[in-house]
Amino acid sequence: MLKKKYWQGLRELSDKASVEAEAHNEFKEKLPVEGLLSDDLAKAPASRRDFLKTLGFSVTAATLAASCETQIRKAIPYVIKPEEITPGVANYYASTFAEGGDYCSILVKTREGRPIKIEGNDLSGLTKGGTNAKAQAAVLSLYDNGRLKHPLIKGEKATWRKVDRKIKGALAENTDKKNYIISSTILSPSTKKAIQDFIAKYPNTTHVTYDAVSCSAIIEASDISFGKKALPSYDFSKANVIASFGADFLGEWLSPIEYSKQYVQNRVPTSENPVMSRHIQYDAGMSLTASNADERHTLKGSLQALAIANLYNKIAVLAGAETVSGIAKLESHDEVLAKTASELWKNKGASLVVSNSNNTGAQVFINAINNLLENYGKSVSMNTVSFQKQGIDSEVQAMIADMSAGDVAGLFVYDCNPAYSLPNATDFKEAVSKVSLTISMNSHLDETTALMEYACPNHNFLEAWNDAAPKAGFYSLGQPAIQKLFDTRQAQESLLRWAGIETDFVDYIQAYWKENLFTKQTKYTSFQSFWTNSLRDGVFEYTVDENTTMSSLDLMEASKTISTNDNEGLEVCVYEKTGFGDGRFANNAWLQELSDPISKITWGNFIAVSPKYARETLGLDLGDLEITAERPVAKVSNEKYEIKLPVVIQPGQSDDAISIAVGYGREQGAGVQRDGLGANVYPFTTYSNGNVQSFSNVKLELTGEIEEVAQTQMQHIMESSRKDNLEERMVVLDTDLSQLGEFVEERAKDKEHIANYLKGSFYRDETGESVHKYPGHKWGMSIDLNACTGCNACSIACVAENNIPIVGKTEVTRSHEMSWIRIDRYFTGTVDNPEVVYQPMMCQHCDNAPCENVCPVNATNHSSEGLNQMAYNRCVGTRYCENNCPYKVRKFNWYDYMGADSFSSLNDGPRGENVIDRDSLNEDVLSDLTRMVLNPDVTVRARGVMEKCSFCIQRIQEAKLDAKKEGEELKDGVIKTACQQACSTGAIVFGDVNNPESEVAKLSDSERSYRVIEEVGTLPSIAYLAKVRNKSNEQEA
Amino acid sequence: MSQKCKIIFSDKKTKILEGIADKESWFKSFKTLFFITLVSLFFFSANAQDGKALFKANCAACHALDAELTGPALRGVEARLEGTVDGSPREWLHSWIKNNIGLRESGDAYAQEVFDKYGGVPMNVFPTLSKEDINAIIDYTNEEKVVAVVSENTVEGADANISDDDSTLLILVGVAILLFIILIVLSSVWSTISGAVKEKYPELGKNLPEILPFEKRLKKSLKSTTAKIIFALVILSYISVYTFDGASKIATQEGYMPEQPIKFSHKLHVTGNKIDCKYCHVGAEKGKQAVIPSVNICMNCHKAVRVGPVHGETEIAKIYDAFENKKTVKWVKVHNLPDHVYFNHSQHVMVGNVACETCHGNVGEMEEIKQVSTLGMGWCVNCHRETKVQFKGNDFYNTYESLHEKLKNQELKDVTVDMIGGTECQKCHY
Repeated sequence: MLKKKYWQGLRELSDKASVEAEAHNEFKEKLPVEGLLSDDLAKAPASRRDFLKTLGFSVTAATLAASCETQIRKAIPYVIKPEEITPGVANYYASTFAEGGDYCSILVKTREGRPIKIEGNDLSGLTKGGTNAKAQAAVLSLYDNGRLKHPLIKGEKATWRKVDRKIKGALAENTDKKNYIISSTILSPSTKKAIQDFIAKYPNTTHVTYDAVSCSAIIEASDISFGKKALPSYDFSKANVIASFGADFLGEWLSPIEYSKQYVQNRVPTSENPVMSRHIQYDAGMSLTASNADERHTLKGSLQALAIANLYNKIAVLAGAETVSGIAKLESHDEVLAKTASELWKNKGASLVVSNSNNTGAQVFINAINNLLENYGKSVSMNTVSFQKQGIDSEVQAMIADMSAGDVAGLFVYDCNPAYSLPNATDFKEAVSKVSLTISMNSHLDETTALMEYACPNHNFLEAWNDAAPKAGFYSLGQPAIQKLFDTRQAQESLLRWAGIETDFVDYIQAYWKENLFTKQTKYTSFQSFWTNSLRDGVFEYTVDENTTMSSLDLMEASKTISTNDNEGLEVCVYEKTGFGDGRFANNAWLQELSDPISKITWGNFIAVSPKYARETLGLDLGDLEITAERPVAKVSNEKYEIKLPVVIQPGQSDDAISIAVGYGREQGAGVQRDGLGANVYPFTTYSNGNVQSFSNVKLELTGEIEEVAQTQMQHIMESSRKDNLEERMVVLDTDLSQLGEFVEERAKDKEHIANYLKGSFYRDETGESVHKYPGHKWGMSIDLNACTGCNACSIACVAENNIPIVGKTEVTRSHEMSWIRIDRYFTGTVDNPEVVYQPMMCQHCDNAPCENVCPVNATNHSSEGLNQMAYNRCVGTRYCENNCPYKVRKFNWYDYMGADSFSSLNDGPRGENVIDRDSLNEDVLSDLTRMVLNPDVTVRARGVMEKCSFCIQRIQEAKLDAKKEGEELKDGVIKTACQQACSTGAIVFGDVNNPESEVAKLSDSERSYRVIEEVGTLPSIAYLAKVRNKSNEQEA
Repeated sequence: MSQKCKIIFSDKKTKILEGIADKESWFKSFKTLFFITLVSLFFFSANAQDGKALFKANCAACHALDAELTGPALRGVEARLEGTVDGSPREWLHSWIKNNIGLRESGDAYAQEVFDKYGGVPMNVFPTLSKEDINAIIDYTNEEKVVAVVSENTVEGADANISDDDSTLLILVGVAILLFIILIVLSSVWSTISGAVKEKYPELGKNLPEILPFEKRLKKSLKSTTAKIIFALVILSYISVYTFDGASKIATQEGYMPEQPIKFSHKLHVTGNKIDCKYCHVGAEKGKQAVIPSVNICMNCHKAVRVGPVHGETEIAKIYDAFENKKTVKWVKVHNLPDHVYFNHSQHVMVGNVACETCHGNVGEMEEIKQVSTLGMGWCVNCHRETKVQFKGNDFYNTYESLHEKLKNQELKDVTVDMIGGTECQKCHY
């Protein structure tokens, strides 16, 4: 049944044999033994003498270390122990992650007063316990050595008292000229009130919101159509057909955590009820959302508005409404748009059309389409509006004009970096020089702060009080989980001080909540109990009872902004990489080392070109570009700006557009050295039609240079999936909705066959019962490939929970990346427009584990609860286990990445260089500050040992202990692994498969379930549920 | 002891003089000289040690080295007095210790100052202490502070252990030597007799087997391959056992009893005042660490209790100092586990109902806390193999149906921790 071909890299399509050979070789790097074996010993990189020296040193060191007296350790108790803290027991504080427009209601896990992990808050009606990679990684940013540690005046260290005196003085002097406060989207109503108070004190002040990746057009279109300057709220679960034009709503667009949850809700078909939503994506690049779509069409950014207008006309025809004249027909996409229109029309009232276009006209058309489809009040609503992006690009441009004209006396920058991310950053930089009082409240000495006279660093969000209102009726609170680490001050308090208000910001928030929110509820009679409970829950929600009706739809006016001429030539599409965002997390090593879901590239950006473009225009051979890290470098330029980046061939990329991620190429020493990592592509964005557009025409030429990219794509690949005659081996399974019934029947047969096959084997007796008994619990996991969007939140959660080392770009290039859970991305179909399956892959905890049998020291063995245990202190590093693992999930500590040992020479690489220094990782992973993020319940592994997923054994043990202490049975669902906790779509379920009532037991046995290379007989504990696509064969028929 | 030494010294000295005067007994005097050199070496090296004993006997009632009791702390007193008193501090101390009252009355300004500072209570006079004694005491007070000292008891205990082993070994060796001697004797008796028989009765001698003399036989058998193999095996097994034994003891600290910043007596608090362990060690029921009590817990009682029976106010004053000035108390951690071990007190205390004494020994009899268990992995695992799980009355264990079944059918008497996976790696290492 499964004659489908899956591939991870392009070379597999052209040259299977070499990939197969590579897959056999787990350890890509050559061991430095050739030198020893060669004739010319003297020139060998490691000579016999070196070997003896090393041997001598290690023996002596071991003897010394063993014979040394045990060091004296101190136990220092609190002087006065805070009541809520018990050393060794974690506390959780409800808080809010709100960076720019990103929003997530969270719980902060603290140990002995330091935050070590961020988890989703189940009580939030918006994010519902989900998180994304950025929210998970935010805890590392707290311990960022690059943060400003005290205020600066003209780059010199200063005191807050002095800063306040000077700024207040300057503000008082200026009475006629304007002041500007420029910030990214502020979700906090109390902060807005603080800004209002500041403006009340200095009335010539204007507040401008600036988003590096803006959605101004949607806000303006809402204003035009509904008279409300806000974003609509979407509900993807109520849509049976979703059409998205460029909107990466599962990755980075507006509120991806919320949308992912909704999206997946409507995508769990069973053979009895084969119903799921259909998702059609029009996109230039292969975004996360595009890769999840059932039907995808490439469409470059400049044609998006036209395509939307075309779609409107086609639906209008179906609806019998008036079409808009003067819209050119988009020949290239006419047919598919017609099909989309008819599908949408058939699902009238249960469909949704969204777009990331920053063309106000196009967004008015989107409103009109949703209106024609009667989606308002169902899948899209203007009653409960969203505030997750508030930036209006024209206001920013007006501010720059004012500054250039010399009309501005004071500029306050708060949580944004226009000098880096504006399309016309150079204009901004020039204009800044004409402003006399310049103040930055950013937490880093970034590109903008470096231009400012005063740097008044803000707290990290984990040190500060805050509140947030991401959506009408949805409020949440943020509370400090740690004392401030440096001499910083909350930006809101800075503004209040300068406005002459001495209140603490927490009192200020309380006052706001008392006045505005306490009255919205009836549950609590006193404000104190309302406040305490809201703070404990982290959220306060109430139903907004509003009815917004569409006021006007001037489509003729809107159509004027839609360019009808197809720009010939190459276009660059500037996008936010999933899990990386707009560049504000450049210092976060976890996010830097996170493999991009599609390209699997870490540490830097690249030029994504289509296979056809690479072959025909650039003359590159696809296969050659896959195995090694080396990629050709190309120059991308327009008349004003040029960059050089490596070229990566991206299946599914539009042939007439290249994609490059923003957020890289940070210049200013933002604390940690990140110079030379990628290039800044914001200057390729353009300001046109009143908004910043994320595409423009560019030229691309190969420079002939070669650069290494740290791509994890072909590292740790599973060899068995590639045997020619075993294409049907069950690594990933997917099917179409229309064939789900047959698929399920075949699966049942397969399962029976495998069960029979295993009968009487070493692990199953003649009746098929397990020979190995698991008397108590037997842990298992199920992963629904249909629910996994590939967002990578789990990967970061795992890094944070399990103290997984960051190894740096060069080490990743050498296949030394350490993550315990990786999202394998499989392509299937054509190279030009492939389908994608994501498969989270971690230790399968096989009951018949190949790794266990080959360990000479029994460092990895099986527990009576079905866990494949790894005892680090027993491991001697033979790496036989990794060699024998068919899933390639074991990772070896080639160096002392985490500083577990005290000999720094352990990190000397093969060429004598220190592997940590080489990528300037000292500040990131080895400093005392960053080590505060380590989970004290998990061993920091030393050099020379294997490690792998433990099913979060520390969480299992903790939950078991809690149940034992209570004398209760361990309830299903109490144990959540870190990856499961982080997943916003609930794709991962963990539990006791011995308990037939548990969710995981049911799922593991459900009709779509299979185990990866099950037929080999490893008996994995992880069951995957096959992916189902809705390719609409029926609709076509 | 030092007095005794002194007597010997003077005794020998006279003898030397005598010896030198008598040129004929030169050899004898050389021997004596050698002896004396040894004795005096011992004497000088033992000086500070004797000082400690003297200090304890004569001064410790009112003085400590590092803490102010009735009198001032005495560590480095000599250096402290440099420049404060007239003349050399040591001389001043000599006269102060022998007769402080006399010194004060002689009009010494500093003596008056000290007297006034410590509440006008005069110090005892020690006219019987010799010059050497006083020097020994001063030398002792000049010793650098050692933060954590492995106590004498430990050393002695270890010695006793070793001598125990030695005595067994000695007996074995003795028996072996004895057997060996008997063998030689018998063998030589045999060869003598057989030689004699052969000589006297050549006829009879023919029937006797040819027996090589013992030395030759020994030589021959030692050269045989079997002997070499046996010898090698013995050496190898001895080395293996020794190495394994030694390796398993690396970094274990059984008997560790460091000096603590506050002379807190568990004996007084546990046995004397009957305070429950968990009153202070609040974490024992809640989490991983049993927790060294924070100062505010001490203050619960010590707000009222300001004077202790042993050290008076001095030690309790340290708690007040910490509490009032927000200073941390830096206790020396006694029970240390390696970083790769996860141990949870609440599991053992709450679930396993293990008494604190099982691992920590009879704390109620300890003045200073001491590690009594090895805390090594063998020790942990052993306990897990022997300890019964509190199966009854805890619903958590319902999931172990097969074990419940076996208990019911009396196939099993008890369920021990290892039966539910208590000796698996990832119960403690993750």
